[in-house]
Amino acid sequence: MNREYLELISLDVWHIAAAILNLLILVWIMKKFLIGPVQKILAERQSQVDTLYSNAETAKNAAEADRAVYEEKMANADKEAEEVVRRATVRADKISDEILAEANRKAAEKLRKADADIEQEKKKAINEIKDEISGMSMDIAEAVVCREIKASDHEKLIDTFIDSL
Amino acid sequence: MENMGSLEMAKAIIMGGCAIGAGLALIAGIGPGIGEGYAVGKACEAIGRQPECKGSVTSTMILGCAISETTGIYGFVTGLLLIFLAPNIFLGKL
Amino acid sequence: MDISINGARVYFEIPVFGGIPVTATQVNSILVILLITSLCIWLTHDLKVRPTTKRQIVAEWLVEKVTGLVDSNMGVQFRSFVPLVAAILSLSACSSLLALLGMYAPTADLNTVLGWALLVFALITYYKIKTNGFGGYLKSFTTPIVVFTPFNILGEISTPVSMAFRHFGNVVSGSVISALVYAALAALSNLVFGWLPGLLGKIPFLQVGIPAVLSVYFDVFSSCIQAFIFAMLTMLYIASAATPEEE
Repeated sequence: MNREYLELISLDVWHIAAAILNLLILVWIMKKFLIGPVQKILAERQSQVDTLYSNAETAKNAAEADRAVYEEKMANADKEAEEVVRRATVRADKISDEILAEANRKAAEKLRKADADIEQEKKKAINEIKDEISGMSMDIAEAVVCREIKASDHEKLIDTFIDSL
Repeated sequence: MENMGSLEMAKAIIMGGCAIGAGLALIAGIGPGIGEGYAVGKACEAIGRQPECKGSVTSTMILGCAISETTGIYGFVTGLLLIFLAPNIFLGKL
Repeated sequence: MDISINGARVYFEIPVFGGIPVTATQVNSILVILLITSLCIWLTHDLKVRPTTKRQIVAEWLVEKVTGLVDSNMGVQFRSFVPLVAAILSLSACSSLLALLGMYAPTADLNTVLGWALLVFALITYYKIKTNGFGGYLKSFTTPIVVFTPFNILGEISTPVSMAFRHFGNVVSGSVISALVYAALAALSNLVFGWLPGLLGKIPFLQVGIPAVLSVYFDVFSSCIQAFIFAMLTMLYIASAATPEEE
């Protein structure tokens, strides 16, 4: 067991240099294997979060705009409804007027037609009566011509005629 | 004692002197002891006054204690030098 | 009774420049570096933007802690010092904690911590010269009056020396006290249980539990505190060197 020990406090330039070198190597290792990757990941996450936030901001703005439009529409809706009702009323009035006028017109036409029909029927009836009377006159005249001998016959004839009326 | 040569005498004086010196060097431990006790007492007062500052007070106190410990450490290192290094150096010169 | 308090064990010598001894310090330093490297690679080998593993959360927590430390002590413009601070913290803490495993802690070797302190000192000087110019740097030694120049130089040199000795002294004091307690417990054990027959009397029963309590303080607490303080002082010194001196 021929092992040597250094003194408790001993200085050696090479050992000091080795210590510095070790520390520098570890600094490089830290930078390369721990700090670097983690910072990269953190930066990536930060950028993702930023993107998400900006997206959310955009969406929020859009929603705000939508809401403003909607509220404006809601405010206008009453007016619009009134307008619709008014327009509908006007239109309904117009239509009802039209219908009424049409009905009146039609009724008048029917009345006129009926009058004309009646007139025509009347004329027709008068003509028929006239024809009948003329026929009857002819018959009477015939009868008179045939039986003029007897006055009684004459009277009878007249009575018959009158009865036949 | 009469048998002891002057060389042995010198060696004994060196060893004894180094040991006494090392012991004296460790008196340096008194200073940091008092100082740190004072610092810890003040820190306790500060925590008592403002318990919400406990974390920062404690870390500052530990840092300050460690720095004020330096003088005590110097004494300790001097003691070590006197025990482990000085005898060899002085004896080598004899 | 034999109490031996030694420096690093010399494994072999490289036969150049009159023999460079390769000691436990170098071997254990390389072990620590390999350990930290593999830990880093394991922590970061599968990072995702949306963390799915505890590993990644731990890695991010560590990086954020060190970054926060640098930000609060040095300012955001010194973000490039995050790897240095992380390296000092991890190397110092892991080196000191090796003592828990019964191995030689590289930080118990003055060369190691003096090397780190000299690196920090070089950075401090670089930043002082960069901020104030070389003339300003030289001039800062003569403040407030020329007579103070030797003291200023002494103060400048004492920065790395005090950093190195503080760290070294804390670690070594722990190991010295541990060795003394071990020896004392062995002696006490021999005294109390020495009457037991045969091999049984040679077992140092008292060495079982008590040193563990001490090592919790000297190894775990002191190691972490010293690593933190070394990193803290590094940051503070460099940050104050990089701020222009007010005239």
